[in-house]
Amino acid sequence: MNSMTEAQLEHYILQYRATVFRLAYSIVKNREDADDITQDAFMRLYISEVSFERDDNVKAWLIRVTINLAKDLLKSGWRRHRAELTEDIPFESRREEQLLDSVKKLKADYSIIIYLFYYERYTVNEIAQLRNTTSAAVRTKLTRARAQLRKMLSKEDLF
Amino acid sequence: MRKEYNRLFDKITSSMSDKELLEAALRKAENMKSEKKTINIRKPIIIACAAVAVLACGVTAAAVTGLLDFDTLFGNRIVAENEQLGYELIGDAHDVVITCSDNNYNVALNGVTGNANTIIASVEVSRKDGGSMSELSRSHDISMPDFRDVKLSYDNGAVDAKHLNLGYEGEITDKGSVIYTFEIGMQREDFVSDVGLTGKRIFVLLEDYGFTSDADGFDIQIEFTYIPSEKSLEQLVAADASVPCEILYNINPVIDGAAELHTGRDIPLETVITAIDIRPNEGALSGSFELGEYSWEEYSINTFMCNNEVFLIKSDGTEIPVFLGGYNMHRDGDTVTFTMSLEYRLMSEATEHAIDISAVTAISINGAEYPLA
Repeated sequence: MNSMTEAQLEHYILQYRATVFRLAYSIVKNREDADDITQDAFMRLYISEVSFERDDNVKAWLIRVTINLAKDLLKSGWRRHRAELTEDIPFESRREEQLLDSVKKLKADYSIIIYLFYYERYTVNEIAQLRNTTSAAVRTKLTRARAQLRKMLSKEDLF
Repeated sequence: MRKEYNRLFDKITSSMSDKELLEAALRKAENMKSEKKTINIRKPIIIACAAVAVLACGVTAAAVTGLLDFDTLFGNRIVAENEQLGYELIGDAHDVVITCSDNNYNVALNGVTGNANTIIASVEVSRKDGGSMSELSRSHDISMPDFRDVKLSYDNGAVDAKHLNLGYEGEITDKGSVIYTFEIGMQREDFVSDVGLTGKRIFVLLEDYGFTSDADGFDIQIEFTYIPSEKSLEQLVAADASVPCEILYNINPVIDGAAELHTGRDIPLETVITAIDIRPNEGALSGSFELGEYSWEEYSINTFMCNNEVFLIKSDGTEIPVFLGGYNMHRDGDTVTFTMSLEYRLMSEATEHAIDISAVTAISINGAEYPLA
C-alpha cells in the first residue's frame, strides 16, 4: 500500500527528526508529547501515498503535518497534564533559560513562526506557503511574537 | 538574536534514538493499517439548502436543529489589508537605543523615514581614532550566499548594493565617517552586508523589521546588528562571531494624506456549507462564501485555522475532537468555494484507531450541537 520503504523512512528520520521534534516541542512545550508527535509525523509519512520530487518537499510536508498534529493535540483531551519543571535542558545562562521560558509562553502560532523563521531560516514568504496563509499575516505574527518576547524578557532585565 | 535562538533550539533534543523512532513509527503504521482493514463506512451529509435558508432569513443557526452556525465555525477570514492604498510615514525618532560600538568604530543611527513600500534608515559609522573611513582600502566584491543575486562593492568610499527589494549606499562625510542609507523593501526580512575595510571587516546585519499597531499608533521597528569582526562572511554565519550590537529604533509615524490605512482588520463573511463527509479516519467539509467588496487581488484571505472547538458526538456521548485541517479554495468571480479536511482520531496506548462513524450522531461546533442525519 505505501510507496515508501523502511530504508527511505530511516533516511528521512535521520535527516529531519530534529526539525520535526523541535517544531513539535515549540508548540506542545514538553518532550513526551513532542516525541509522540514525532513518531506520528513519520508514521504518516511512511503510510502516505504522496510522492515527493525532492527532499525539500518532504521537509515541508513533515512541517505541515507536525504543526497539524501538535495543534490537534493542544485542542484534544489527550494532552498530558504535567508539571514542566522536570525539563532536562542544560542552560549556559539565566538568559537562555529565560528565553526558552518566554518562547514556551507564546501562543502556538507565534512559537511556530519564531521557530521556522529564526531556526529553520525560512523566509516570511516560505512560512506563508507552509502555513497556507499570507505573507502579511506571517509578518504580523512574527512582529507580535517578537514584541511579546521583548516585553517578557525586558521585564526580567534580560533583553 | 538568531544565534541565541539557534543555541536554544539546539538544546532541545528528543530522548529517543533514531532506531527507536524508526521502530515506533513502523509499529504505529502497522497498527493503523490493521485498523483500516476492519472499518469501511462512509457517511455523507448534505445540508446546503437548509444552510442557505438560515442565512437568508437571518436566523441564528444555533437555534435551529440540524443546521450549522457558520460564523461561529469559521470566525473571521478576510484580512482587510489593502496594499493598494498609499500612505506616507513621517515621524521623529524616539526611544532610540544604541548599544553599538567597539574599540575602533562608533555606530549611530541618524534617522528613519519611509513610505508604503520602503523603509529608509541612515546609519553613520566613524573611526574612534579620528581617522577617515576613506583611508581604508577597497575590498572585493562578495557574493552573498543567502541571497544569491546580491552583490556588494566598495568604490571610492561609496558602497552600493542592488537587489530587487534591498539596497543601500554609503557616503564619506567631510569629517571622515561613512553614512549608510539603507533602503529596505517591504518584502525583505534580513540581509547581511559585508564591507571590507583594512584590518577590519564591518558586518552590518539588518536583523529584522516589522510593523506593530495598537491603540497608541502605528509603529515601525527596525533592528540592525553591527558586528565588527575580522572573520569572513562564511565564518561569521557559521560560528560565533564577535559580540553583536543592537540598534533599536522606533518611530510613531504620522499618516499623511486622506487615504484610509488598513492594518489587518478581520472581517467575517457569511458562509454556506454544502456538504460534510464523515469517514473513519478523516472527513471533509465543503462550502462557499462571497467576496463582495473585498477583491481577491487587494485583500488577504485568512486561513481557516481559527480557534474553533469542534467535536463529533457518538451515541454514547463520547466526544471526538475534530481539527480543521488543510483546505483548497477556488474562486469563480466573487464566489469562493472551498473544501476543508476534518481530522480526528482515537488513541489508546499510543496507538491510533479509526473511528466507528456509524455511532456518530452529531457534530458539536463551539458549544452548539447539531444532529447529523
